[in-house]
Amino acid sequence: MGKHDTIILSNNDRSLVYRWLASFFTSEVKIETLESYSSPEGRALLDVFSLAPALAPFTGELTKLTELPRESYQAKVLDLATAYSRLFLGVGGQHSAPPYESAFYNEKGTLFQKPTADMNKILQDLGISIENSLKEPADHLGVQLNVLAEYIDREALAEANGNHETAYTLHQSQIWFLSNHLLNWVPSFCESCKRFDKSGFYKELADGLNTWLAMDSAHLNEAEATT
Amino acid sequence: MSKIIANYTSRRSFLKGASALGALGVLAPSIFSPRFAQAAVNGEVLSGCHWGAFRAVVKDGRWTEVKPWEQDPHPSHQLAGVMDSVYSPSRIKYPMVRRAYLEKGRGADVEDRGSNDFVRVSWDKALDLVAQELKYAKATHGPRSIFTGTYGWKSAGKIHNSRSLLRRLINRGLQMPNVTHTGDYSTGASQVIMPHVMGTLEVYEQQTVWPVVVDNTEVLVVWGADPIKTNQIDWLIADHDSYTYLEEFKKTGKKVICIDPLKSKTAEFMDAEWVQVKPQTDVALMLGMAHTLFVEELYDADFMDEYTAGFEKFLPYLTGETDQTPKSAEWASEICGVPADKIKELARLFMGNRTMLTSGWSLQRQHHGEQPHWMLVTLASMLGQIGLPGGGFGLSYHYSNGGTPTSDGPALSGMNDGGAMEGSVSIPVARVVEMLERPGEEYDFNGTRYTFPDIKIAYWAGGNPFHHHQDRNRMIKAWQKLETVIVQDYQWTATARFADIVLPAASAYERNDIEAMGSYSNKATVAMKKIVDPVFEARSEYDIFVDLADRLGNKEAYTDGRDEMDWVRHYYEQAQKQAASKNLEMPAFEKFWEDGIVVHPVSQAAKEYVRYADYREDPLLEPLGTPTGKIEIYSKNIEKMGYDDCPPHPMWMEPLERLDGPDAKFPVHVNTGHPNDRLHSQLCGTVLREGYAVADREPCMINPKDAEARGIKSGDVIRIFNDRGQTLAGAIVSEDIMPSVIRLYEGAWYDPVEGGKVGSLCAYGDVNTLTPDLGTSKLAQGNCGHTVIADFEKFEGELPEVKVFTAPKNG
Repeated sequence: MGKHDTIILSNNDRSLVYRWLASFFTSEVKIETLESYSSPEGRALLDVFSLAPALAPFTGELTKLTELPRESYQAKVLDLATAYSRLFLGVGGQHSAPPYESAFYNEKGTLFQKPTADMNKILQDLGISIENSLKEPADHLGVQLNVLAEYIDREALAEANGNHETAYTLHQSQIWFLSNHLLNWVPSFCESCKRFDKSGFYKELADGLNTWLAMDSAHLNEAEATT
Repeated sequence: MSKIIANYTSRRSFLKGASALGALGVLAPSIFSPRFAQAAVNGEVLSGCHWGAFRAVVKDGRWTEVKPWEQDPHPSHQLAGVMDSVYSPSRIKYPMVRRAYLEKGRGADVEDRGSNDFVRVSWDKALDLVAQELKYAKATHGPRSIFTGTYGWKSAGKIHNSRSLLRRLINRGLQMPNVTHTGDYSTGASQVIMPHVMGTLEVYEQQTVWPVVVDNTEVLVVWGADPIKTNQIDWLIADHDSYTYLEEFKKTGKKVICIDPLKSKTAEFMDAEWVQVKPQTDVALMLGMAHTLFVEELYDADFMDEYTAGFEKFLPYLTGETDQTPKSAEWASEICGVPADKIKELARLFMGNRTMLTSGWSLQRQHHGEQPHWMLVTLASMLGQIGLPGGGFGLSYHYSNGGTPTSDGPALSGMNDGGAMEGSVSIPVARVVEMLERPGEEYDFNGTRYTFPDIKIAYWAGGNPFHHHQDRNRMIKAWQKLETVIVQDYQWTATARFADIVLPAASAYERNDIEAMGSYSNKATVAMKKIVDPVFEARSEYDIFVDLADRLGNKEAYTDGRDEMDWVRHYYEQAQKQAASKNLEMPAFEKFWEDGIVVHPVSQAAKEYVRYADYREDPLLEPLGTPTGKIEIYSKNIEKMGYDDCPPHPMWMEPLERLDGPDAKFPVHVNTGHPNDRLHSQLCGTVLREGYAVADREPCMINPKDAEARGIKSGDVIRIFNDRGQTLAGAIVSEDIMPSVIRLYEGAWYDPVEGGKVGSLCAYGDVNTLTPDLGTSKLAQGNCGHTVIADFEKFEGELPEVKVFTAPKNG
């Protein structure tokens, strides 16, 4: 048993971290979101995520939000929604952080470029498609983080079924996907979030994501080197 | 082992099975469906737009390439921007509501408009809000409280006509008397004065056709126009056929003269003589020519007698009998800057040759803009060539390829406004800000006194008044009067940024429609097939309005039971019937839709059309639509109006301000001509901008003398300013513009450094921060976008970033 086993043991958690991070990019924080995080289950969740050093500052932000008086949730949620619109929905013009790989593929930020096509192919190969309710192209950050989670889950499943070869391929897929579809643009994206976010919330989210990706990638490669 | 893994391993079951996991399922739900995506769409789709017909290459459901239609003789380079606009980062992706509006309701923090605080809402929420606002206006404020003027170059297409659909919503959905607009920003003055003078609009009429001009015209004058630039576009789908004729004319080697403050694309293309004239002084120049023709007894007195009315009342003004100022070439030269000898030479040249005086609309988009074309007609009358092949005047050769022979094809009709209710009114389009400033007060327009309505809600669909309207700062303030502003568009225009409710419309390439090619040629009927699905949550204009009509309880009345494709078929079959009555066969709808285009035949007669030939042939049987049936050099109707700013015959009048004018407060004129690389403000946010931006700003052309005096070189950022506003721009120093005139194209996106603040510096180059907002006169109330003087300097200090075009940093 080498480190590869360790990864398998922690894969469940990595996948959840990716899906969890993705949720903040695919949707605004709603009042219900804050209510959920302030429930005992939600707090437990934040406690656990805060154990990852990369995620601690962001979970701290979320915890602070849940500690706000209920009557101020509405205004806070609108603050965050305004920041979200400026950063991710194009309202901020050049002072924004488009959450699309295509936007960083060319200097002008045109959407639906080759990365969209590549991601469509990846989804097709995985036999999945984006839920109809999410009207985003496949190179949206939230979709990409979920794709990585998908690879992780499938690796775990294959490993659980004793299908080591498939597990290995899926492990390789993660390394490839991280470097070709996330690390190639997310650091720049996070930089934009940090520069242009006035809420502080998305700046911490971007910081957390960026650090997490770097560490997870380093870890994957490390595991790969010793497998 | 890394730290993370160490943490995770030590708590390896920390999530699995923990109660927290349930929370995560709610907070981070799966976004995938376990099914295969639909088969990707591949292939080529023929469609059309203002810039021409084209084939779109679609790969895996994405539009990847645009190819001009094979039969387009001169495709526009702007087509690349058309494709780019669909995937532009400046697309409106979701329904959005201004935050303060959402929180506090209508009229909240209106000074906050333009500061970009928006929140996404669902379509249901957005449409509920819009329907609620419309009902509120009707219940609380009653008739004429909603403005649906919604001026602008909506996308091509007969069904998804945002203007008609919006009015249809008020007329059939809300069933309330409406407020809309009359006229346009292009020809506001001419389209009102010309019916008094010629009995027709003139500006939107077929010209003596190009084949006749090529064969017969000896001197082609292009006065304040640039057809090579502006014929790239058409209100419908551009055919670009005029380029072929311009090339043919050039090959003949006959004389072409461009009268313009700057060397136009046309002057360059035609190798024309460039006569530099000071902006806004064309009437003086024309008067100088007319005076020459008169005193030298060259003019065609017989023509004046037989075909015109009131010349004898104009003559005392021309000769100076009435005001002791003969409008001599010398007098004109002092004003317009063209040497007196040159003025005389041109007058003699025009008289001695078959001369076609073509003019653009820049001449009339200025204070007293009724006068230039009236004077042009007077001059053309004195030349005596109106109605002769290749002679006379033409006011639409530069627009939508005017002068291209008209086919025998049927007229294609389209979505109508459903019939305005009694009590509906309209305002002259460019008085929109004054309307907001002076509700309930009176104004003059073309002989009648009207009252401005009291508008509470404005709904704009497919237009960008924060580009096309003058005096941006005055406008921002006036807009604050509105309780609710609804904007429906596919780009984050400045207008959308100043709205309360923003609805994402599908682009013209994301829905099915039908359109004619060639406003003048009617060359073909084109199937505008959907190229790709609407991106994000964009929806077609028709779908949006149908849902609103439904919320107003009048869906059936709105749709007449038809969906998008039913309407497309309906209008095609109407055209088909009309064609059959002319013995012209058009294929069955299915075949048309498959082929994508039906090209119509052109008769020999159409290729020989001479404007006013009938009138010349028989002025009694074919009289003009004027009170006298003749060309009115003097209008008794206008005399009766008694306007101090629009006399009954053409006259030189000092505008509000002009270069070297009396008490001119600023030293340079700002030419606000049409851009070469976009359609007004459309496509400003696309890849095309990379081809022309200077220091990331809208380019401003400056004569070397003016640049040198201010220590400016090409590539510098300059600040242009006057007492109305200020904007940055990127300098291009060139001999192609006369001294003391700078050129900043209209249509550059407004990008205030401080969003929403009156007087803010525009970081990108919106020329309407500088222009005045006044009517041309009480007659036409057209806009005066060319009446502007200013000063400029090299911009020093910290350069504000251009923010209006969404593009990632560090990309």
